Amino acid sequence: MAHQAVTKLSGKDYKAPLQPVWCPGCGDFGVVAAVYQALAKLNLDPDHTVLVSGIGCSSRLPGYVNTYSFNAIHGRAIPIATGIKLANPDLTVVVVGGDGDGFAIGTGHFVHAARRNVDITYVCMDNSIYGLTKGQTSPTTPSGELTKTSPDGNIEDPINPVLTALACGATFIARSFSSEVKTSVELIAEAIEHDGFSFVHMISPCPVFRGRQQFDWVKERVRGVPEGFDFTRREQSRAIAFEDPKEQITLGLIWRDSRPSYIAHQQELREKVAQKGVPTYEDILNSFIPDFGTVGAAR
Amino acid sequence: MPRDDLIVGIAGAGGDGVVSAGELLIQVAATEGLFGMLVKAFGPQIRGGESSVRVRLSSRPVMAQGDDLDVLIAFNWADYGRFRAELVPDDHTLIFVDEMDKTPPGEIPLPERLKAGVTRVPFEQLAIDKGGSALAKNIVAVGVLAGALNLPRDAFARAIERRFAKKGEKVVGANLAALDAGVEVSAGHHAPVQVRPKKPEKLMVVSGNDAFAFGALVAGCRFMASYPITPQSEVMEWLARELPKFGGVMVQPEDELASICMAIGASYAGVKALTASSGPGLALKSEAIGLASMAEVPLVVLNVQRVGPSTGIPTKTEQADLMQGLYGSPGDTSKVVVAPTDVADCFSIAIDAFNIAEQYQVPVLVLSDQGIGHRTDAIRPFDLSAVRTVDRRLATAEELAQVDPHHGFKRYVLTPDGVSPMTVPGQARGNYLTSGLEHNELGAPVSGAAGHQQMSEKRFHKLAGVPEQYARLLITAGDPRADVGLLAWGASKGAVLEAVEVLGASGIRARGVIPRLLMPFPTAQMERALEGLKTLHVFELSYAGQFCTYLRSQLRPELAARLVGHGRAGAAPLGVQEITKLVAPSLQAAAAD
Repeated sequence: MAHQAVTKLSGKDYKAPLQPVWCPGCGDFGVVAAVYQALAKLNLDPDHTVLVSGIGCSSRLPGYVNTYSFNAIHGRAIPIATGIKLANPDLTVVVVGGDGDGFAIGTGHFVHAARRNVDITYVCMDNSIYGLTKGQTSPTTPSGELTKTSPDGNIEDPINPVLTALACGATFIARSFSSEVKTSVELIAEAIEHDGFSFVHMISPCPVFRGRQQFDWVKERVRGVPEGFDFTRREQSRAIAFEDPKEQITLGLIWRDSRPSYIAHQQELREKVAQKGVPTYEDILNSFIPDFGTVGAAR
Repeated sequence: MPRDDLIVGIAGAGGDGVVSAGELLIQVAATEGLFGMLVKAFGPQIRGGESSVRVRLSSRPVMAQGDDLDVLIAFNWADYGRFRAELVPDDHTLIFVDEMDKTPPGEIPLPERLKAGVTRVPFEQLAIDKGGSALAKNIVAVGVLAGALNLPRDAFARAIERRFAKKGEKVVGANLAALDAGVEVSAGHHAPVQVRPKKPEKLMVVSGNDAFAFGALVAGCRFMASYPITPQSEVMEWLARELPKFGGVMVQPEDELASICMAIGASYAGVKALTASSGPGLALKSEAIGLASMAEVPLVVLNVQRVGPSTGIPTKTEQADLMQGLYGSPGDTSKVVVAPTDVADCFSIAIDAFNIAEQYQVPVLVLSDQGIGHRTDAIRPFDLSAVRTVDRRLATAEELAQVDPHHGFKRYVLTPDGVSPMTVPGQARGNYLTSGLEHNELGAPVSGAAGHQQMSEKRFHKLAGVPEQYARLLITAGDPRADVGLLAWGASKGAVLEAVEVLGASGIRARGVIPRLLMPFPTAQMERALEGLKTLHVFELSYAGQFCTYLRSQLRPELAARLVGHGRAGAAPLGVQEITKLVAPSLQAAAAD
């Protein structure tokens, strides 16, 4: 159960004193605004909330939020967040980071966090470029794009984060766009409330290394979920996951499933084990001391 | 020096029950009050290959696995042949082989002079006739050992009853018959040494890896995340079974990186956490060790060393992860490195490691090795009443009430001892930014030289008190008037200290010096321990001589000049005779002076 703040907080109450290092026009400003408001919407206690990130422009975000915040190492935000949540399931744990952090160096963790269904929320801020290192190809850079490490055009095809999440068993998958703050607030809040691994694919353009046209390109293609869409119907969700971003980019809640979270399994396991009795340290020590006297004596 | 130890070797094929026989022997001997050490060796097959055990028993604590065998049982010569370097018989050795073995005399892997003395015993036939199945041949062998070692048949009988109780009366009866058949065969065969306990006392039988896991539990560890790797996996298996009983959890993540990062996350959230691996896995963890150091998150990392580099020989021991352990992380990583030297140490060092991690808010690396982790010792039971555990200093509610909400909690506030009170998520007004980036007192990123210098000082200065507080981690043994010093670390302690005794018994004054705290280097304690020594022989299982190199970098030049390195590649542990032979030339030189 998430801990709520004792008084009603507003978005600005979650703003930390640290000033963002992001460039003017960066999509991440919209995301951090949405994070403030989502936390306020749920009125979460800042002292029972932990934001975790790896490395990248977007991974600076936890420093700008007035919660327990952990800006860790490249690609490892998800396992750090997992450890935090398993150690204290009372905490609300949110991971933020970029496409390089989550879908290049940290992909393995994403796959297994989704499978494991630990109750954490992961907001991947996808700008399709390495911004912090100033403009190299990322795992979501579209093919053909010119970057500093693909000066003649990217010859690789990008990974599809939503499809990957679906394939790996994530139980909550949504997509938003940094400039659509209202949609982002709703989806992030819903993701935090979801009991299990929740993933928000947040498209967050980089005007400096992908140019102003990236924003326009996304803006032209985004749309809401189609009428009558049911996010619990596998085939409908799959259709959205497979859509070609060159044609359209669907925003909204794409998939939701309700299998028990790792935390629930962990609790169940502990109860099952406790029924067999909890040993003392002395009992354990004695189990290492062979004693072949009693059996013979009893016979 | 009259011997008060006895060494038994058994070799056979998979399914011969070689390891079970060795375990029965050490357990029964422990019940009788005999100290012991059991070392297993296996062929390369995953299951069912040839295997061997050597068991050394004594009336006093056993330090090393010893040299030549006193008793050898070979179920067949071909399988024995694969372990001939580990199980070496001599003129005094009582040798038994299964009658079924048809190896032509010329191909028996024994020195010519020993072949005539071999006793042929129908182990398998007796097992079939008396025990109802060839499977009981190891129990026939145990019976032979009970007789030859003059250990009480009834204690073995009770051990067998206990072991086979679940399989029913019939199986128990058959195995007792096999035991008695073995005892009968042994008539007239006496081991060259008879060991008797000094006093009847109950000893524990435990492996190094289990001892470490138990120590971690007792220290208060409630979270472990690890990826399976030989020779560490027993630690995570033990804690996977025990931690849930205590409200904890062992998680097996997708890789080594996730393992250490989950442990860092758990510790950051307030739970004492462990991750464990072996050399290749430690390499993968090294970036995150730097994070724990920078973010000042208490953490214990166990590395059970094996032969390297790369995959090396996973089931054999070496001490060549030393430099990786000391310096393997990016940047100037402040951390503590400790090394257990035997099975009993695995328990106590586990507790020390957690206590140091908590008190100093630092990653503590424990460098164990396969030679300790996979070995089983019969030793005095751990003294649980002596265990003291330490918890990190958390900021109190009163302290947090003083925090200026516009600035936030100064997690990394500069203090005289360098340790800053920390908070864990859930503590009101205690939230802060933790970062792998260099930071100021608030945790906010900084990039200036002065700030980096100041925080580097904080992270290293806070450990300055560790060597004095843990002065007991430096072991010295032998003659205080000695000229000759023998230095070693980790599992090499046993053979080195036994060599010091052997030299002492032959009138040569020698002193053993074994540091268990390796970083921060206990300079003052070490220099006191080395006082008066003219030659410092350094023994280690590292071809490149990493320990000797490290000592040279840490000792005063006049002491460093006295170091004589004897590093060699691992896979086989150091032998006592090997050590005394290497020391001999410097003794002759000293005598000639």
